[in-house]
Amino acid sequence: MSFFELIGKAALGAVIGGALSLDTVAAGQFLLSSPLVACPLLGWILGNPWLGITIGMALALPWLGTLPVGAYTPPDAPCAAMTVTIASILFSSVHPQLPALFVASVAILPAPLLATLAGFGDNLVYHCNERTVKQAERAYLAGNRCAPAQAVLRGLAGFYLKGLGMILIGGLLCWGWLELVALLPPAFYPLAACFYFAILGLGVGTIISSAKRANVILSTITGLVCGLGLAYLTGGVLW
Amino acid sequence: MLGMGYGFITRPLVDKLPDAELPEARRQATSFFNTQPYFIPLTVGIVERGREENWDEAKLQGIKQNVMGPFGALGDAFFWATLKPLAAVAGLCAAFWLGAVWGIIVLLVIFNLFHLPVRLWGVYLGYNAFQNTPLQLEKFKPHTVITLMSILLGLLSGLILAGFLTRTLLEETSPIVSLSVIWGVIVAFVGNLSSMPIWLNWLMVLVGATMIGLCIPCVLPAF
Repeated sequence: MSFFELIGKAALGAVIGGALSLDTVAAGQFLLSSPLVACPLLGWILGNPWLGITIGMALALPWLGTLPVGAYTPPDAPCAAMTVTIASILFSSVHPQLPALFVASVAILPAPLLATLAGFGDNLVYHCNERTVKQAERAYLAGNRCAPAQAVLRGLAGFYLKGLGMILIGGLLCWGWLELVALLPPAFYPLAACFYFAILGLGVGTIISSAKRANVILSTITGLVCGLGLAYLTGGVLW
Repeated sequence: MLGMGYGFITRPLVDKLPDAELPEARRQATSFFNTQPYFIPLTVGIVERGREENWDEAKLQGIKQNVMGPFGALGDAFFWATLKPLAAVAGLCAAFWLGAVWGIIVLLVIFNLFHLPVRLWGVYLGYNAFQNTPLQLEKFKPHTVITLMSILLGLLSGLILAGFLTRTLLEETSPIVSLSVIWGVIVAFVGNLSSMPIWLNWLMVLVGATMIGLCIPCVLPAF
């Protein structure tokens, strides 16, 4: 892949990722920004759906226990997932010799940091929006009928720029991390599968434990037993 | 910004008011407002019905402030704490067993099947039921629905956990990988009980998974 092609794909990914990240809070909220949706979409667009799906599955659940209740701004997991997906797909196209699962597993490692950074970005946009809202309130009371629409559009632009910037800056950070990890000897590659599946377990565990309901725990155990029994009966088991 | 959004969607109605009432109505429409976003149409319906019944702005502001707390609590419990995880886990199950396209379809259909009607139909419900809106909502038995959804969420979580334990994406199965899944679940429970930050969970998962990957093959060569 040529340098210009790489830059072009990174820009395309950032523009689409920025638009998808609007769905998290600012517009729509149809769950299009959910990692399970956004990452495969970006994967298809950038030419590596497998990596998109793999990263999307890993990052779909771990943050669902943190709720955007009241004034609390949770880490922006969808933005982090999209950043990681774009960075790892482009990195994988430059380093095709590295196993895809290894790239996916090490790429999701900095996801908490990226999600926290994106959460700070959200707070920054909220801070800017407060000023926008005060100005719009004054203008609306003074008779400017379009003030609410202008304020809403400015808010959307703020969130879009935050998503775009986060994907570009976070993508560079993630790329640097991947370059560093690529120096590891091939003996470490099989460990990536352990980490990847542990993150999947962490995601499911987060959902069950954050529900804090006895019926969820009981039904999980029931589902687990049924699933294992079904796998055994259908010959899907195991090692 | 939620207050400004409220002002934006009620602007066509507010603009129809006589000039003398406009400033106060505009102030009310753009005042502080914070609830679950999907319940905003419901609130708009209630408040605008109140305006049609010739309630004064102070009373309209009062009802708006009074409903935002309960609607926020109900919406957060239903949409964020139950429906979103349920849609995500169902989508993950579909992606794992049927393929990524099914994962996307299942997630979007389950979530939007519930959330879109609330947004689209909410304004009519709020307008028609007006002060009886909480009673009308109670007819849908939201707490029973949340409980049933939680049970379904648990069942699907158990199933996907069984899937992770018995299969891998690479069609290679290994007890080491399955142990890593169990380690991930343990870390999630410990992290949740002790309110650990997520990066610490991540670090524990990394250290544990590395230890499992490095140590188990040495301890049990049969693996």
